Amino acid sequence: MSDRNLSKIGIIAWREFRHTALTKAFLFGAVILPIGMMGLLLVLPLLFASQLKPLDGDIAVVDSTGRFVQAFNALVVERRDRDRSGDAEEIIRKLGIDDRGGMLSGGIAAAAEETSFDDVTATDFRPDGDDVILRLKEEAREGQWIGVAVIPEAIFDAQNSNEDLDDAMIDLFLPKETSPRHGDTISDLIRSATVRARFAAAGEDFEYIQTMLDRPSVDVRRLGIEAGSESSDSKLRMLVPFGFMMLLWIATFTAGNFLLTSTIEEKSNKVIEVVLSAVGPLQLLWGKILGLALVSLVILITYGGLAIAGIAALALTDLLSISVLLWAVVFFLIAYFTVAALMAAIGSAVNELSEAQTFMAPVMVILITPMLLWMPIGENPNGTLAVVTSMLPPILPFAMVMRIGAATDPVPIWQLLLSTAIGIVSVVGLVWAASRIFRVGILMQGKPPSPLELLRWIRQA
Amino acid sequence: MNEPCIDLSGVAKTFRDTRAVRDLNLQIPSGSLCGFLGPNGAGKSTTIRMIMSIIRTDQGSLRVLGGDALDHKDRIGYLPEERGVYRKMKVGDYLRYIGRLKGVDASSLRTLITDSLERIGLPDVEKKRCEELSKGMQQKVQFLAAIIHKPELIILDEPFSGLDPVNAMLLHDLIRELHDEGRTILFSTHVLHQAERMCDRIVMIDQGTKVLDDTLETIQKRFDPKTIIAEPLGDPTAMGMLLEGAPEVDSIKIDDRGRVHARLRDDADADRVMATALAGGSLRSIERARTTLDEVFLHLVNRPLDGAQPGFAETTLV
Repeated sequence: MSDRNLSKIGIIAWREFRHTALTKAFLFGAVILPIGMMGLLLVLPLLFASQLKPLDGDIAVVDSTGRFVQAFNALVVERRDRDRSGDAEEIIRKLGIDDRGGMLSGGIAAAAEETSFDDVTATDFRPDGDDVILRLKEEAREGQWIGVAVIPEAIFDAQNSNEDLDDAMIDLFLPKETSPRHGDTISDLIRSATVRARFAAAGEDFEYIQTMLDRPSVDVRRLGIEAGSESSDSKLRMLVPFGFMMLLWIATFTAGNFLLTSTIEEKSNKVIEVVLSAVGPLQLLWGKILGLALVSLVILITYGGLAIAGIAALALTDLLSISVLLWAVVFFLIAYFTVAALMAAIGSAVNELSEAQTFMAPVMVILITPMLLWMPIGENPNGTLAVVTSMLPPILPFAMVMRIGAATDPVPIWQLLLSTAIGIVSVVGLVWAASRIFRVGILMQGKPPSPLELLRWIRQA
Repeated sequence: MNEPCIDLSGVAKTFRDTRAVRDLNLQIPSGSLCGFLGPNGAGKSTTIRMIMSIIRTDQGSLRVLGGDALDHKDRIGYLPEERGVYRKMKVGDYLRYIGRLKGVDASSLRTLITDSLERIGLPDVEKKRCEELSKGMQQKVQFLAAIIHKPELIILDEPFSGLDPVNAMLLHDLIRELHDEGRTILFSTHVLHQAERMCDRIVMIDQGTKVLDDTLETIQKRFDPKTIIAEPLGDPTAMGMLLEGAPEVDSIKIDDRGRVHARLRDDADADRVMATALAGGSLRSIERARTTLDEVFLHLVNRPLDGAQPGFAETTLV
């Protein structure tokens, strides 16, 4: 191909890129929005926590036994003094995230302070008929109490059967303006305090029993291939293959969709013949494919960059390696050219977007298969199913990125090379077939062709 | 002899069951302004698309500017019948894009676009989106896109369709200018009188077959009706009898409007017949009948127009 023809492909590619990616809609939707969403996900918990009002006030308790208030006040003191960041650290450790700086646990702890309370106390009242309850409810309306709890005596009696205990119910009256969250907190405190009071009534040391029942943590480490190398067993590991596949899916299908719509638009605008008077159909096809490859790359870099930044921030970089990323790029290219060839062929064969749905449906059914196979491939990345799907065009790039993303067991190099070779051959075949459909279809008007006609176009073009 | 700018030999094209073009032979000399005429569906656009190598021929050979049009796209300007613009693109960007694709140097495009837009009467649209322009304005922009690279060969498919008389005249002048600069122009139209006003050469096709291919001058001679039409102020019958007696006149016919049509013999001197008519009494008008391209076309495809003038004899030129 001469320099002049290559230059024309470059001009077409730049136009496609410029009029797709350098637009306000694209920059906002595909670049600024995901970055903003990511930032919002980090800020939202803190913002949420800042808007919560602490629970503060006195609860009137009508209890004939007099056991409840002591248990309640002890519980409040314990909860208030407990270090919430410990819970957060436990969650993070279970996820396998290395949060040595404590930044993440601090954030989660702040967000978890939804039940924070400063000075909640309970005041005991002995029942002497309905008058006390009526008076206390009236005082609660006036703001003197944050709640009125009526505790039946039977609820502490360990001699009662389970059914009797279940039947015994605590009545809790809250002022109308109590927030749902505060209502839940008061209710939870009362239930927990009741359990404590039962233990006390039975003569047992509640805190001792609670300590005995605490399940110890297990620090799971994955042994590396080399001696001495080990890594944390991250629950996020299962998400990486899915993340890889979704990234590939979003990048290729978004650009593929742009290719489809731009081809249909040029046909319906009748501008196609003007362009074809200056370039050949193959130059036009390649210009469009390469221009939108850049668009796809922008999407990949944006979303992939955010994902890598997140992974680095969580110190989970052992889940990724340079070789994994390089192989991901290779399979991204195979995936993009596969999707682009299909979309260009469909776009050139139809006159309107609605007509494209007929051809899109079978293509989507095939290409969505790897998404359905995420769990089995992620669980056993070197199993028969994973190996077969990663050698099968056109779904092989999506299946292979899941395998290399799983990383529990490295994919043998010969399988990577074989999959790449099959992928390249399939891409060459698809682009060849697409170019023949494109050559005929791009000037066709009227009724869209049947699949058999498409095959005839491929043979005859 | 110079090689024709466009040379088609035995070209044919079939779409499914429709034979769009049949065994077409066509040579367009360099520097000519050729009208490519025919009714809707005659095969004009298909032929033009084959000339542009946008679609392939089923059979026959086709040479444009001495080779394949694909190799000379930068030397050809083309305004398709089904033309459009990128609706969201600015006019300047659209012309710049087409200009770059046609091989125009990017540095010279800015001035070229501004000047050209001014020339076609659209000085303030460069920054406007194409969708903001009226259909007529868009058509002028499309015409500009076809010639922005100053091509040697310009092919215009129905360039006047959809234009008002003012813009049609502007386009007419531009085409004449381009022709005067020495460019070869082939334009198709089914509005034959436009071609008659502009072209030095006419090609007519019907149902994919060429029915006429000659210079306008030759066609006018070939289809000269050799008829004098006199409209007397007095009795048309008396005028008819007078002219019938003249030796140059072959036959007489009087139409519904009282006009006398005197058909001349092949070697007759028309001036003498007109002098005879003028001497015979007062006349409202007298003229030599002219054959329009519409009449020629209808004659050739054997579709006489209702209420047409008396048929003309096709003259065999030696």
